[in-house]
Amino acid sequence: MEKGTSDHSKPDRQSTGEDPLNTLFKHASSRPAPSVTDRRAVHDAVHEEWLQVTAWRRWRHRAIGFSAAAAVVLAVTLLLLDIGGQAGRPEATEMARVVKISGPVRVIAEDAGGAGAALAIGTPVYVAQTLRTGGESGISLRLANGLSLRVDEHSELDLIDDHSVKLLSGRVYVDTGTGGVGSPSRGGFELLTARGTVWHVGTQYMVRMDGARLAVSVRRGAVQFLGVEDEASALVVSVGQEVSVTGRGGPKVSVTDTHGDQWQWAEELGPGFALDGRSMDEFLAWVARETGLELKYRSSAAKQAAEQTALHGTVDLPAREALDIVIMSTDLAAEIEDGVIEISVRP
Amino acid sequence: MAIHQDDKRLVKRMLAGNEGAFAQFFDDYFSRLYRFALTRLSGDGEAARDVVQQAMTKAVRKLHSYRGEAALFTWLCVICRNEVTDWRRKNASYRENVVLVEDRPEVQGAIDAFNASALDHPADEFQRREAARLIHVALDSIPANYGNALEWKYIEGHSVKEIARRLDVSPEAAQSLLARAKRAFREVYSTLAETVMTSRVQQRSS
Repeated sequence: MEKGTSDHSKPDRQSTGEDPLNTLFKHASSRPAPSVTDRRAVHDAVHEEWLQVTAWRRWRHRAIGFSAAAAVVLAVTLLLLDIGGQAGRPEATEMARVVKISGPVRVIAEDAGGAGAALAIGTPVYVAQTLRTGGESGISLRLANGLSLRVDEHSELDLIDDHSVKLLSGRVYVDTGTGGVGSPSRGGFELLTARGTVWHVGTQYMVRMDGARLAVSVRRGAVQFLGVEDEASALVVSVGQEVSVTGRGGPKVSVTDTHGDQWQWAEELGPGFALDGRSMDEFLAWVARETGLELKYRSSAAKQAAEQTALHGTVDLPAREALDIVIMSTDLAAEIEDGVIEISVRP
Repeated sequence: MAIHQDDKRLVKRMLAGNEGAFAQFFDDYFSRLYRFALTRLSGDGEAARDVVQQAMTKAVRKLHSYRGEAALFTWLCVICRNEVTDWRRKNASYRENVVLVEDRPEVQGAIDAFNASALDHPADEFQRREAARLIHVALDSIPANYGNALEWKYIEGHSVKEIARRLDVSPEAAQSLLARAKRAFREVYSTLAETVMTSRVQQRSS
């Protein structure tokens, strides 16, 4: 057999004095390589994902470790704990500030053994604390990145770090704000539950944890949901959809309303709207966002009037109530029907 | 079943949040997966980049499920192949169905275990282009530093001294690594080539 002419099936192992791979590789060129730009882009995206995965795992280990340790230590140290929470805690990392609060809401430090301190508007909450709302209560928080996190009554929420929380029970609502965008690959806000994890993609959504049942309802934009049963496949849940997970089977996606009674509590906890220097059409856009309603102008004249109407003052009311009051001071009228706010010029 | 201890250790370090382990993982597998996808997407670099990004992202999410029963690269290729299929489905206009010899289960197993026997079948019809492609596949199927060292030596013509410098090892260590790399390459390449020939003989007879 003449080497290098007809047989490329295997590198020749016979001893001929020449390295047989030299002959074989004569037919080969360098392997194609991805560009530096592609390499960098993929590296960054995969690295972000890896950071998310490892952060989540670290948190789980910490939580398990903490639970085990707490069971042993609690009995002998309960009386020594600083129940006051954040006071005297120089290493604490601020996670968010209280924007609105109603009824009794307590914050419990990681080492407070179940008791806690009351919160007030403007006070910070810290990483590693737990928020607990009682009956007829709720709290609205604003994170440093502008994200609005609202917690309904009878809810419990662990503040994991500055961009992730775990809903233990009850109901939360997340509004990323008009400019907010987050995703697993961008290190955005992460909402963990015992049944899965939710990442937003510039959106408003609500997460309910009722015993073993988890439901994620999307009002605007979309979220990615990653169930704990199948960590390989993230599910994208879009506007008007709800994904629910119970103890049995995989996640189920159904249709849900983007406005109405189930969202009412979140509207009531919504931050007020600073009117000063803003136009009526900006205010109306805020109302639409807060209520989940679609904004329509009956005519171009109505739209023009809204754009040209400057507002003054501050209104610290839920969006619908604010609309009723503010619109009376303008030449416009609003009518709400079938999920639409229609704005017209008052006759 | 052999357990791939080195790969398992790498994954364990990654799961523990070790940045060095992530860097090793990315350096070892990104380019190889890129070529794996590129071949199956008719050389569409943009599609290959997207597919590999998706595959590696999924892989890091699933790392905890890696048991070491297959080589990490084989495991990654399974994920990447699924992503290629998904990409083709989503891009309906892309109708080409690429079937490659290295996708066959028996070849996968042989590559994975490095236990193929060298057979001396003649291969008169074996085309140079296919040989060149299989060389790339074989280089990507062996450990990354083996593939790189062979490419530097036999394709780019670098000296052992230069290869040692690139690998940050002594010339003696580089020589030893090259010897191991050649052995691994021979086994994988022989398996691939043999499968190609067998396949052609079957096609002719049918």
